[in-house]
Amino acid sequence: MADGGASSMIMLITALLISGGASAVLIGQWSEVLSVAQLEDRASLGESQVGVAIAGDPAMVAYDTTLNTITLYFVNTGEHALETSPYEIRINGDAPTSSSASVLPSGTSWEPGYLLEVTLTNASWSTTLSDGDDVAVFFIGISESVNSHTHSVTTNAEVRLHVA
Amino acid sequence: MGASVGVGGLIIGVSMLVVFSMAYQSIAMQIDSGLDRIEHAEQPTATFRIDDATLWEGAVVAVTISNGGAGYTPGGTVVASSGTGGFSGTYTVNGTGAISSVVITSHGNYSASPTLTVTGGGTPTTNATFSVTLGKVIYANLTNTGSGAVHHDQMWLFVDGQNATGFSTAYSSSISSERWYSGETLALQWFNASVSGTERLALTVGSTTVAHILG
Repeated sequence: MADGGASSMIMLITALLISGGASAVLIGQWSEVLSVAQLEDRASLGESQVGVAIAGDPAMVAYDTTLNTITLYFVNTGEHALETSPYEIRINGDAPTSSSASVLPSGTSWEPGYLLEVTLTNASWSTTLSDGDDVAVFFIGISESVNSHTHSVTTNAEVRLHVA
Repeated sequence: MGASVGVGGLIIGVSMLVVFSMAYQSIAMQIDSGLDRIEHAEQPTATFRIDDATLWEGAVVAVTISNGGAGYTPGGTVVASSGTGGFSGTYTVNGTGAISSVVITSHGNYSASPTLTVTGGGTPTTNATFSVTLGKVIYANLTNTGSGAVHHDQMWLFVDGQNATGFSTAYSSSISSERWYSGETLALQWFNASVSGTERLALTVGSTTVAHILG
């Protein structure tokens, strides 16, 4: 009887140890799974918190036929700063040969609500574009790091060129 | 027999604790995520309109006192004695009755600098003389038709698609508030001699842009 009691106790303790160990491993692994899921979720949330849009009058986008430049404004519509470089812009699918950008009202960090004034140059526009033309603008840029993730931001619109 | 039942019970109990712990972690994460998204979704898109917009290219934007004169009394007005533009202003006098400052109450709109005189200011012994500076002024009434308030820092003005100017730079208010509340109409008087355009005023807030022809 005593032997039976001792063996039962050994079985009980063994079972407890095994199930306890298994539980610890299982909960630990589940926590890791959740951590990864949470990181991905935050990344997804961060992506929804960055944005960009074309600012200014879309019916009067400045086109300088002397310098062959188009000046566009983009506003940071998100909740996090965006990088001022690199970015890519296409006018009717064509890349400008050069571009320059500055942040408005001032500074170098493109904060939420701030503008990025971009001046694009392409000599070939002198033959393909003229006052009053509607052109397709596409912009893609990147955000600064949000929760250790960098997100792309894009916008596109049809605008009308205006020669002052 | 009893030990076996005990062992079984313990195993089941531990298993339930494990399941409960996992479920708790999952629910906690989902609640965190949900709250973040709700917080983000609370920000409504700005909607607004430009009720009217007028450009006056010959507005009197500054008055300089060349000679304050003497013998004036308070209570009169400074008006234009030449041209038809609608300028008027008030003034203050010092101890000798000389005009010491002029406050513009109506900028008017002139093709050439008008001559200013004081009316209703008593009987001066020496007439005051003034010089004026003409400049561009854009008058516009802007109404927030959305459900949320917009901070002035989020607002950008454009003339003919150029001259990007922060709203807070162009707008001056009699109160210190820097928010544009739902249903509120702001009366903009934008003095800017360097504005190069004359055709359209545009206002951008976030991803929304509204434009209006300048009258």
